[in-house]
Amino acid sequence: MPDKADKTERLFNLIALLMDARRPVTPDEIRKKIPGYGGSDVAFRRMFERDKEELRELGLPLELAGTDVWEVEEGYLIRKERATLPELDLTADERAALWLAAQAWQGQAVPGDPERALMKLSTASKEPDAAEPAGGWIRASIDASQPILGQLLDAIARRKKVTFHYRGRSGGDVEERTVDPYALQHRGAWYLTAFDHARGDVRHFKLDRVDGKVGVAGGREPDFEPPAERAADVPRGPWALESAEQARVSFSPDTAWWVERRTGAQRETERDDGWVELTFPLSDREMFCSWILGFAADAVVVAPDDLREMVMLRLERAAAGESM
Amino acid sequence: MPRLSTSPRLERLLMLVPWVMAHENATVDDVCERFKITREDLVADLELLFMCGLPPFGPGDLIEAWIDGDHVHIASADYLSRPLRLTQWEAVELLVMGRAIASLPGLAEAGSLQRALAKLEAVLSPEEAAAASELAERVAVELEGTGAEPLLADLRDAIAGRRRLRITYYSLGRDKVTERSIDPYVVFATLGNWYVYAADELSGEDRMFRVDRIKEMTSTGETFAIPEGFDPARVAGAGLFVPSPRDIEVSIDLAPPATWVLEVTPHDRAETRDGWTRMTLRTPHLEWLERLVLRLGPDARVIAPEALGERVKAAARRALDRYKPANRPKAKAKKRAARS
Repeated sequence: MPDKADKTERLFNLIALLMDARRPVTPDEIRKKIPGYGGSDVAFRRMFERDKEELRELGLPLELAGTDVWEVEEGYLIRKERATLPELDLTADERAALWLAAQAWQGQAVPGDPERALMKLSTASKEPDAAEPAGGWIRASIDASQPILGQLLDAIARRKKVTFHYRGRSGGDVEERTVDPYALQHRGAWYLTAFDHARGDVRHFKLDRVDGKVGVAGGREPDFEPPAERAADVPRGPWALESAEQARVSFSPDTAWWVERRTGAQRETERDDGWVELTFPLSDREMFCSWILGFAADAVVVAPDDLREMVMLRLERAAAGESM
Repeated sequence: MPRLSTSPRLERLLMLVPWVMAHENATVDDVCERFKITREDLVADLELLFMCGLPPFGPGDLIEAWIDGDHVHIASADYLSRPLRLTQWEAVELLVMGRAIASLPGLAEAGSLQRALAKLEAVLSPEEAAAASELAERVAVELEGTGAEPLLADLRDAIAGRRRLRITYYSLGRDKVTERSIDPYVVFATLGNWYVYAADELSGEDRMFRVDRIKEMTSTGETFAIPEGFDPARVAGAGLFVPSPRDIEVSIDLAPPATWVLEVTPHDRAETRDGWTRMTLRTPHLEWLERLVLRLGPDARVIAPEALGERVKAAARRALDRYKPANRPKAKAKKRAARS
């Protein structure tokens, strides 16, 4: 077995040969010219197939073409103009701004290396920079460390069905789900929007609640066609679930401004003592009640009555020490 | 599909060759820093390159790769004088994150970023561009919608001009509104919120403040200096938990419906037994936990400290008081429209 350095050397030489070639190089020529392709015909063919696959993974556009106008023989080549970046005129400002985007991906789970991408663009620029831009004032860090993120990105791109074990929000039961992955959204955390086969509906799945690995269906053919229309966003919180019903809640002066800023809720009234009444769509009562309880004495439910009573009952129990 | 699955070294070499050829005066340190490798790695890479080239691999066919004093040189590799095109995912990742950042309101860099993204798209082939934009539609990163956005531009200006700020801050951890002066060093987004890392005059320490909880912000007219060696990347990557000598150890048992708390709360340990998960964490303030336990109701049990259990009861009583008839919002409350 050739060791890794030999393989790297062989692949590098193969790339050099195909990029330098003026006319397509036949497999026979490749075998004769590049050291490391020993063995039988079968062994060579297997090795060469694997090498071609690796070149494609690297994004190198491998072309198969006739070696002459009669096309009796076929060979391979990589057109330099298709394989390499043309000259760009990225300014220092633009590079620094792109760098903000590249460094925001935190982790190795995404299939492309964004910093490598930036290095490519920067090197292709008229005046390539030697160093990264200096530390900026703003940083975004989006977690890209969970390997399932990479698996799901790949499944979305290739339109492959996936299966995983999922822990629902309201309980510890882990269930197997089989879904058509449509989209990924990062809103504080990663969420997958997918068509759930068992439920016959589009659902959001939080990646943090996926237990273990994701199984991606085999084969190269796409398993589904995603809908042309973009799926609904993940709701921002219990206050943002769509509903015709409304809840009215009044907030203390210390918190009201923040709740307004955070939720964009509509302001109904302001009392003389500074308390502010806001309205929200009311959908899931349990979630909404829990959210309001988190404000302790800074929020009071005004309406509807059943929600008000629900919150009061929970507070009475907590005051009696029942919940602990 | 994890990154660099098959040949990380080959990928590096394919970047190293055009990079070194484009940077004629690059030193060993420059290259090592840029590629995040050691000097030994670099020497090994150059030795490998020195064995590569074109058939028949005579002296004129091999790549020339050497270190001269402190400078790195690569020659006779004209076929690889330019970097490879972006892979599909490299393009998509920059586009997705670039658009998320560029859509932040008031960001001075947004213009440069949009121009850069346009140039990036321009070097993609039509098929690549179509595939990349189709994928970019299916992967969305959102950095706005946290309530912090209106303050980002002013914070940016304060950091750039090293201007001290006077802020009115609502601290959920302590359930208190404070007035304090801060020297802001860096702003960062993590776990769905924006934070500003700043030297805090009130506590005499460096602190992180949630930007959306800054009620008001004005410049004091004073300036400050960011300490030598301050590394924004380290601060932003370190996470939100900063140990303090005033920390109290807290243990709370969570029923299955409450285990989502683990996803959003920095904690030391989480152990599940008999269906309950015991979360253990350290914090200098109990106020925020009071509220969390209240919120979870029967799905949480306070194990330690005892004081927390008592505080939850007291907080519940205070909240209940608000529901007494005397405290009901008055019908004669004035309409906002009537005031303006």
